[in-house]
Amino acid sequence: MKNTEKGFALPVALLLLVVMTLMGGVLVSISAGDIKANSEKDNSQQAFYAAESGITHAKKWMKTNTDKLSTQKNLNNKLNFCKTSFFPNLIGTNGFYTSRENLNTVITGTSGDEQRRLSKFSFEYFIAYSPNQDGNNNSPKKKPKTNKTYYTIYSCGCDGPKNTCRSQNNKVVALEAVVTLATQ
Amino acid sequence: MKKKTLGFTLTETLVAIVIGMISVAAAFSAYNYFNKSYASISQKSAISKSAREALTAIARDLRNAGYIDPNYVAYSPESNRTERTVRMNMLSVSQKRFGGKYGQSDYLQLWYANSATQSRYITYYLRQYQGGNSNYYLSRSVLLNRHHPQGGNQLIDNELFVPYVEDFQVILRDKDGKVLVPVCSSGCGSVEDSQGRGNVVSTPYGQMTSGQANAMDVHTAEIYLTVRSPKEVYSKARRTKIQNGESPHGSNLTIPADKYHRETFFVSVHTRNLATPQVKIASSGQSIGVGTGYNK
Repeated sequence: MKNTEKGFALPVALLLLVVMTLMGGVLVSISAGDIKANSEKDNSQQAFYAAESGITHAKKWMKTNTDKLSTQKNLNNKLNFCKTSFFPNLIGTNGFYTSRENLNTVITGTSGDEQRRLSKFSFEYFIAYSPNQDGNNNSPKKKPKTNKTYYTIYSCGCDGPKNTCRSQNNKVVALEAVVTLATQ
Repeated sequence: MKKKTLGFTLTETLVAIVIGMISVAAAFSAYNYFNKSYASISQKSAISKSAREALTAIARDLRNAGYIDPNYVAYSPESNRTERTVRMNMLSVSQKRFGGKYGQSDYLQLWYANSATQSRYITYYLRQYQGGNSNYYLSRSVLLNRHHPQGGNQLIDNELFVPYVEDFQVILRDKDGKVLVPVCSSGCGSVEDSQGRGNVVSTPYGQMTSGQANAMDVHTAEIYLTVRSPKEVYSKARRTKIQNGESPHGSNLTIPADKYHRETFFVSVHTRNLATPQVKIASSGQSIGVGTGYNK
């Protein structure tokens, strides 16, 4: 009787300790997973905003450079993470202009942490004629019954700086915007 | 009295039993506490995961709502594809129709053409679980080329998108932030009728009903999604009040006391293809950005 009582508390305490440590570990890992998923969501949301900034940037460029919007050239060697193949409705590789910026250079007036955070996001875009129904964009397409030409801005936002972002390693959000411009 | 004690005295035994009971009770309550927080954290995490993914998809759909591929009107296989008919059906919200468990949820339909030959017609609303379950889930359906002469192609049919949803509210605002009602082209209910959705108005694309024309003024869409834990989480029952959006267009629910965990998720989306701004180029007077955009 005395012998069995002697060894009773230790195994129970050890067992409880192990079970609770396991449960505690699982709790921590669930919370950590949730936090990670939330911050990933946050990053991809920010990448989306970066892509939108790209579209705004492109529209601004188009406003002052309408004369450069007539002769297309092959763009793919100039593009880092926003390749033409990224867009299923486009099979050509021709366009007019490409640009790639970190967000901190287009959003001014920030400093410190905010600026550092912005510098980790970038966009890249190219401007091309809108493709026809087969995805071919070699020739301009006019809006029916008008003299307006369709252009598409293909923009990608990335959760990495512009020079190191690659579509296989980073979160890249693709956006298209169709704009029309009257032929002069 | 001099003889050696071989057993325990009564006092010793009692003290040992009390100490033993206290330590067992402590261990049990600690275990219980861990177990409960495990249940509650894993349920909360499951809720936030499903809502996070769902809101991402809903936000993308709303952003794309009203996008018309430049080649769509000329090349779509659908019979219904003039500028006017397309713009009539871009976005529709039927308030308090298929209202879910508490009768106040909304029914959201939206449309966009993602390529020359394909359009998507997407529906979100609350559906009741089968088999005598009184709860509802958020369902999502995707119909390709709805107006194809041979009928549309149902890509996704009432997918269980978010489990155990208590309330789903869609509030639409124009560019000044004013709540826009009615925005409804099909499946409208008595709420929209009383808001005059049938009144005919003229638009740049021809005559439409006001419910159809209002869709072209939608600048922001706000989505509220209140999700309940599938299992009970709390040890004490508590009453829940839910107010999503402002009255009278939002919801205002009082749920009787129970032990479930509820969480409301919110997203506000700029519907970039509905109310589209026109930007004038100062030097040439040309307009740019009649544009619509597509988010893959």
